[in-house]
Amino acid sequence: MAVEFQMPKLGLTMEEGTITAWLVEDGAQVEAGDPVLTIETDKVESDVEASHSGRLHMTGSVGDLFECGQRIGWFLEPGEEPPADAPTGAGSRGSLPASDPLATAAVGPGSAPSSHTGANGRDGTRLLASPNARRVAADLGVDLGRVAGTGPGGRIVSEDVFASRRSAPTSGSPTSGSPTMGGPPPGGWVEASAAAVQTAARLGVDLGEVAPARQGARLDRSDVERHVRERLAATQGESARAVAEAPLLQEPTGRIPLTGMRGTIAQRMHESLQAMAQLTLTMDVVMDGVVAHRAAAEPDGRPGYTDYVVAAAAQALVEHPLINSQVAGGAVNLLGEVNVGVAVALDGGLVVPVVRNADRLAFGDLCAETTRLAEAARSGNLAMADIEGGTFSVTALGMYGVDAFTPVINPPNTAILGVGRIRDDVRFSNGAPVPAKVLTLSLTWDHRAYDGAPAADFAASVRDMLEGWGDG
Amino acid sequence: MSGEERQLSYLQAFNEGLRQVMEADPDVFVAGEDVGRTGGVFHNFDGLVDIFGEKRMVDTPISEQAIIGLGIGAAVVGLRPVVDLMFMDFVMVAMDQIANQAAKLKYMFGGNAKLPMTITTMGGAGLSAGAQHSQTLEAMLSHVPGLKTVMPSTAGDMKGLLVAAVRDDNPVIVVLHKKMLGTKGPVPEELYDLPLGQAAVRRVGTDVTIVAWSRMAAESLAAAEQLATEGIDAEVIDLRTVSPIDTDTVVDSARRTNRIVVVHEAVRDGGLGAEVAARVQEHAFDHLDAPVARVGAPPSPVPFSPALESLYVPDAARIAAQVRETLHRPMPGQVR
Repeated sequence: MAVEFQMPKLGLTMEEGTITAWLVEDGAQVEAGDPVLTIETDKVESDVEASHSGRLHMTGSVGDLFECGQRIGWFLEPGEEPPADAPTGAGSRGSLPASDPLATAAVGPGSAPSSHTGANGRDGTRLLASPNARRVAADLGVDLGRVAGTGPGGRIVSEDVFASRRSAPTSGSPTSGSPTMGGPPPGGWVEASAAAVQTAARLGVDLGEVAPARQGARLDRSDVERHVRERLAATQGESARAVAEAPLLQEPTGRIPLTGMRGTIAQRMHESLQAMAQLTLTMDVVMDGVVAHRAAAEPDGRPGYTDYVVAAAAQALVEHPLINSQVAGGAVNLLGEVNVGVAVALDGGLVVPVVRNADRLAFGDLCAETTRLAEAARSGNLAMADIEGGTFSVTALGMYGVDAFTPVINPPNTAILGVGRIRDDVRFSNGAPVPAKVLTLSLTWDHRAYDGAPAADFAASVRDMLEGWGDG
Repeated sequence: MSGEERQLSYLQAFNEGLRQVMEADPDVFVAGEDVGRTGGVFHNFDGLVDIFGEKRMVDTPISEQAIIGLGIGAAVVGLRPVVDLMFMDFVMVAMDQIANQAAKLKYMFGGNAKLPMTITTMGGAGLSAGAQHSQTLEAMLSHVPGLKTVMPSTAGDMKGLLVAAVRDDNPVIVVLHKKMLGTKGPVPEELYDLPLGQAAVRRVGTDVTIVAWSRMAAESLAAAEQLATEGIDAEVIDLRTVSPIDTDTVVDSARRTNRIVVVHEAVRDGGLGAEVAARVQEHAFDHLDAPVARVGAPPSPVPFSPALESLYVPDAARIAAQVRETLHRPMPGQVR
């Protein structure tokens, strides 16, 4: 029986490898242990030995990139043909057995780096998944048929299930890029139509099961997303739209489907308010120092006011580790890295790209990073690393004339800081009124995690840092 | 406990524990081959005859059945005998007394008989002592209800578990590992005991749990240190008591690390690794990411040749190799 030859995992940190050379001819008889190809990872180039004996049928080509555990070939017995339901790199979604719910998402548009073949743990018709992987998948509502296995023989292990939830885009297309905010929904992802095939394969989704928006239309990312949401709704019996609905009051004049980014936001914000004990405090900040600092910058390189708040919040988070936390496992977990998400409004939604290690960036570097992230968000080019791992968020409505509001926490954070407009106000100095530029901060926090005093302390630290800007 | 950092060897810990429990309880006495004037062929009883005299350090004839029979009789009338079988291999000679008498007397008398007897013996390979003097036979003892078996891996456990065995009102077999006799470790000076049936987590880890006992617990710790350099964080559980097994500690760990490798020096076939594996799948089936793996000796008598013997007994490298296989990770610098 044909045995899969998988991209090996050469170390804990290796996630993928590129085939740099096949050392034997396609169809050669090889023995287990024979060096048969060379691969390159981000760290090393290495020989790879045959994991089994047999006639080696290559499915991966030189230059192709594969995730660990993905199939790069088959070991065949004499006279045996490669399995029919596992197309090579030339396979198309049209050739997939759409009726098989366990069908491997073996798709790949030719020579693109997307020869990810979504190898999931299969042995004949039996899905190979560890008991723990099955338990975790059931808990998380993940369909194991869509998970690529990296265990022995392609067995799906629990890490693969977790990884499938984290999987998301490496690039996006401007035509339909609509990353979700703050990370992917359970079992969902964000990717552009141009890369829908690649992404689906990468995530182990069988595109053969995904219905296009219109009959005969090309699948795009939103189709994949809708498919996953429907699967989730079916398995979990609930979704953002499953909240008890009242009959329509009127014939609607327009209809905005709660799908795609809108659906993700609906679901996540609803979950956020359901799961946490959220409340908001506001605090005024005199921004004269910041305004002066900003005015001194080159006109075309002026930081945004939000940048100042992000920088101040990042420093304050270091001083107040309780705020940089996550409620999980029956505990408030203090997080060491300070990764500040910055909400960016898009047409029809928003996204929260993350400034990593914001506390360690020089202010100029921080501004450059927020600029890069905002541009990437608007052009749909955010990478996975750009949107995951946020530990705190900053969101601004000041440009719309808002003073204070009640932001909703971006799960699984425990706080979010709202930024209002800069307004002309008055402060008293020795009893005499003095004009001042004032901004209001709106801090929403999760009262489960900590109380008002530490939240207020944190807000005061942000305020002090902003008010002292330029004082050194 | 006082004497925080005082170091004793495994053998000295045995000797001191026995001496102190004998000082504390005049009902405790020792019987066995060469335990008196000779001080035991491994010197584990050195000096005790000078303190307690020949009536409490009884040299016996070479008859294992008689030695255990003596212990059973003394125990059932109220003494607290420690009977020594020198080599664990000799358990086989005395198995009728151990399995049919000692293990069953309390049951046969409807709970009215107490049998506070301790059997001490030396198990394990590694000294090129040959096939008849190197075996690890705890599986045979564990199969008999009514017996407890402890197999310490540290000097501190040696003393505490020996004292616990002597104080226990049931037959307990204390298996020393003859290759660990010189292994030093912290041992409190005062008389103390450690609970029977309670495993020790020697190393906390997240990726895989290695369950071992006796000398294999030490080898597993060495393997864990090697694996740590490869980014594999192994938890190491030392069962200490192999009958009864501390199922809770093992299962709790399995639920956290999702992978279990059981290691014992005994032959793999029919070994206690199978028992541990069975309990893990009974209680943590839905938490396993890999089959429970077993590392043990091959189905062969222990070789006399030192080269073959070292190949026969599992070591840190073999344990590490099995852990990598269970985690589906390649050897460092190698490609699967």
